[in-house]
Amino acid sequence: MRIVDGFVLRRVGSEYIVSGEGLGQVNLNRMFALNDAAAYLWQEIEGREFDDELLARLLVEHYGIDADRAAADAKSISNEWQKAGMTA
Amino acid sequence: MKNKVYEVAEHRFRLSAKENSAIWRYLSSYEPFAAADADSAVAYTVSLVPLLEYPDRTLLWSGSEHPDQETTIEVYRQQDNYLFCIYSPGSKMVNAQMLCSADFCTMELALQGNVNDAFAAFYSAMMIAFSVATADKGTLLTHSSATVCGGRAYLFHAKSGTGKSTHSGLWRRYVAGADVLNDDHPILRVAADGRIMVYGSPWSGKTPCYKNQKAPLGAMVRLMQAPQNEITRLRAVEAYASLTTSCLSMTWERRMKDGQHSVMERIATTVPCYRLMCRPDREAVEVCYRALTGQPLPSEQSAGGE
Repeated sequence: MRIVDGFVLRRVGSEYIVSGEGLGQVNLNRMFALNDAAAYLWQEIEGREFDDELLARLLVEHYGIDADRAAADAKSISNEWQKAGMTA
Repeated sequence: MKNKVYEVAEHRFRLSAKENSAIWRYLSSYEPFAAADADSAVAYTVSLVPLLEYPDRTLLWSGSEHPDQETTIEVYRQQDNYLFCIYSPGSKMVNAQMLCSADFCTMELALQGNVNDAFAAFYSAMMIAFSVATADKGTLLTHSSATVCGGRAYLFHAKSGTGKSTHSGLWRRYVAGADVLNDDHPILRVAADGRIMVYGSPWSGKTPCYKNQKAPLGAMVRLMQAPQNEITRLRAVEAYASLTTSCLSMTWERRMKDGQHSVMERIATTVPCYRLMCRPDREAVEVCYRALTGQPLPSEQSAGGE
């Protein structure tokens, strides 16, 4: 999977949003709130191929959580991104 | 050629057209913004030119200027330039075609169609020119209504038809000293001291109100029609998302979007932003006034604009 061209992570105060920017396949008026963990993952995988295993590994490295919980969190985050059309 | 220089939100631009062009008769809303010195340096120039065909163009985007407006716009790439084609509401033909240089400093604008459609398209083209040329300069052209009261500007924004103008009219009626700064497209800018300033513009929709004035932004209020009046403070991300719906959506280039984001982020995180569920009545103003100023609306006041 990759982030779909045109989706950009932006910081608003202490929070994060992803908005559809640029022309092309992106709907310009969609916007999603990301929590800190999702925003961290987004920055790590921006511009490269990723899968659920990579996301889980990043969560383990960064947050020191156990592998099972990381795998579950990674799966739920990547499902949400895909459902929103932000990754493909 | 005849040239006029205008200064809007402290950005200067030049309009250039033939001496006998009909456009000079339709610029009364720009007069308050005329700069005394027609030769001074400008950020960009809009020149009226005859309509040309550009066969080597590629469609990049097509849609509405604001998410809720009927004017249709197409954006094309033409060599290094951008080409904007504007269809006025209900019009089947391109009423304005504007070729912008890659640096957004030179715009060549051609108008066609009947006077109403051509002028409506000119109105949109001039706003697009201003937006794209100033987007990376801490400037945001909004679709909202700005009311000044007690030295501060309050911005009311909403989907078209919700009642922005109605609500700002109620402020003029019930709040002593409240007056509209601009009823459709005020401009926001981050000042050197970090405050957000609100400026009047030549673009004020159906309300003839073209004031070359500014005031610091006191609050931003998203209006929604409801059976009762209720005001809620928005979190920064909610305020940001809400503001997005009232700004030009054609800022597709990264540097424009970055500029727009910096202003919107600054507003969302430093200016109180609210959602006002409201009826078109005096109580709506009372509820809003109390939240915005911290004071109750003084009773027995019926002074104001109209």
